Amino acid sequence: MPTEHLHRETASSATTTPGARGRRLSRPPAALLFLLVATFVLGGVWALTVPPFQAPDEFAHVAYVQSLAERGDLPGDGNRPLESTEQHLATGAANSLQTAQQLLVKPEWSKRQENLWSAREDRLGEHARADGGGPNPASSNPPLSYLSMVVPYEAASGGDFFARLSAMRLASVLLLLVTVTAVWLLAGTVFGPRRPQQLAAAALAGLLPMMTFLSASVGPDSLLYALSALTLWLGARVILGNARVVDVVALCAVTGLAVLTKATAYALIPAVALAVLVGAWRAREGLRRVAVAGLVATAAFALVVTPWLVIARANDRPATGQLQGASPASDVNARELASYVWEYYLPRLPFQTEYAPLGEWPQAYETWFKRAVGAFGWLEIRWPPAVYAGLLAVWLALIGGAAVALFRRRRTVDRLLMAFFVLAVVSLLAGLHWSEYRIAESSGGLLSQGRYLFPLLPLAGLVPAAALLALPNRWRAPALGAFVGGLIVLQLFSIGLVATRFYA
Amino acid sequence: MRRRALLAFGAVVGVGLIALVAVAGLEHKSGAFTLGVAPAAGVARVAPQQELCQRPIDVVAPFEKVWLQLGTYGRPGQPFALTVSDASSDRTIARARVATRYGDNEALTVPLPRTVPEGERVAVCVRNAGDRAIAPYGNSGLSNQPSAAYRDGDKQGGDVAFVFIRDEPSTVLGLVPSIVERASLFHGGWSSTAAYWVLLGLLLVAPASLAALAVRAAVRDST
Repeated sequence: MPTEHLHRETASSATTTPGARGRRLSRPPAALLFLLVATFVLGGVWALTVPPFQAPDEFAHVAYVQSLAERGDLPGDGNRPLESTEQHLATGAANSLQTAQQLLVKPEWSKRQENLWSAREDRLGEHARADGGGPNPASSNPPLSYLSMVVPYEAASGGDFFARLSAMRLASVLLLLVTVTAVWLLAGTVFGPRRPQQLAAAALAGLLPMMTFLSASVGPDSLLYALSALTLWLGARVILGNARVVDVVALCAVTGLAVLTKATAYALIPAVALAVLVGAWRAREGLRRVAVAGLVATAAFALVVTPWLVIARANDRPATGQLQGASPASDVNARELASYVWEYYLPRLPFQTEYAPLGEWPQAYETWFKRAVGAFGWLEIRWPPAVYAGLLAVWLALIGGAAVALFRRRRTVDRLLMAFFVLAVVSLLAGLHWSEYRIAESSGGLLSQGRYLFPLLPLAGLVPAAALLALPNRWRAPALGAFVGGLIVLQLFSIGLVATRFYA
Repeated sequence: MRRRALLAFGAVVGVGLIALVAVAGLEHKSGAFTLGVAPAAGVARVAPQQELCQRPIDVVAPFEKVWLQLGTYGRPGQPFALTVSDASSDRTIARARVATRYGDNEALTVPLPRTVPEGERVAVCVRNAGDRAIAPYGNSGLSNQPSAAYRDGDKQGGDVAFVFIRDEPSTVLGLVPSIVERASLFHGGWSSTAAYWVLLGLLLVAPASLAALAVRAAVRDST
């Protein structure tokens, strides 16, 4: 990526007065503010349109939050039911479980049934909210995101069950605003304060429909995406800013928070370690600086993560969630694993055996692309195949543009910053493939989803931002307009698609 | 520069909106509503002269046809009567008779002689008028919690997979008022159809306008 960071603004602002410069720097950019409001409006529409529990595992995440809020305890007690009486009643009334994944089944459409449910809920005692907390598919997740959702849950505690669910979803949308801001800052760090590049990058994070859909549901993903975006931005700052202590502490604390949100975030650690080492090394103060930076980083990370590790160990809970795979690592056949990864992306070679769980080649297109750009609900709401093909063509064109821009600026590219980004991508992909392979070995099925790559969406945002630079100057503004307009159109079609599936 | 950016934005959004309206205007939906029960297996064996009813069913949209799947245990189809009646008073609202021209496990769409209006609370019954047993398809009794299947008054463990169909398919555009009304359910005590109309208006105006302002500001600040 081009890295003409910060210097351009310094140069251009030399002609302005100090007062004007101060005002300019302290005021949030108008483009970011408009984008944030647009993102929030769309997130609000998603939050209030998708029927209850029609996002992946939302029922389990809500039960987790309710257990924390009403019992003050983590879920997983084998002597208790998964969900409370209140949630069970609400789920049945809205026909949520039957609707999940079944395209022909609709949620409850009857106002009379809603009124009947409301009357029954009014008769429930306080205990009906607190009698859940049993084993839960989400209970292996660390608690941070669920604790954050207790705040909107309590704020709406005077309302009915669905009011609390809506409040949690809307609060989750606020985390998407953090993601968008972090991507804006990352693009600013990489490209310098170039508003079109920053808007292109942040718009992808804020306006990609799957991102909005997931961020407007209850679950750990929204917070994970926000913290991952902050990690990538802070990592870039550490590398380019010679590892200032405040940046190193912030980077490692945020990474620690991400680890407390979802085990996926462990994949960020190698890239974070690289960022700290590179930043410290660049300070040119010798090995002592590198050692100090390493110690500061480790201390900041440990300070955030250790309390959870201690609590989890004391309560005999899995502290690292899904990192503990389905089959033991000793069972892994390295040759078969390599073959699985190869066939995921590339045509099978004559000497390779077919890895049975993989679907139609390339599996990467189905899992990483199609499910990232459009697999709503419980993955059952899809675009026609031609739409995916069209979107892939647009994405490949953007990658081509970014590659051209990168090639033109190859002499000024910060290679270690690139290495940081590449390591983040490779680590996450390696972790996902490792987990999926081990699960496939025990279950025979593939479980990865496109959304598992969304912690890297900030880096994907740099692609359209860089692609703009490949265009002649006079085409950049119209291209930006077309790109952002395209995302708005995709949002409207997506909301229409989802509303039609559930309500028509 | 700003003008060209906004023109490009407006052109893409404008074409997109036209396409959205066109798709919604061309796509037709014939289903009025469904109980949300998948036809997985026979719900109950219905012997000659026995009746299997699913009740009570809230009619959330008018319909003129009922879809169902029948098993006949490998025999030719048996004649049956399909009745839609008021769930409380048993008053018949519509009744149709189906002859024997269907096969085992075949899906049937039964036309009714009149429209069953929205707002009714009904029972939908299949009475076996043949001389061999039939089995309407459905799924477990958890499939549709508000209603249940009864054979000659005895509650069964399953729900019948009825789908209620309109004579004249509606376009998705024509269904927008129903979509708005249905989307407003089960989102909290604050939600209402009026609030969801406001939300729809906001959706159509705000994101595109704000995004246009963002593009304009970004291009302005870059020059």
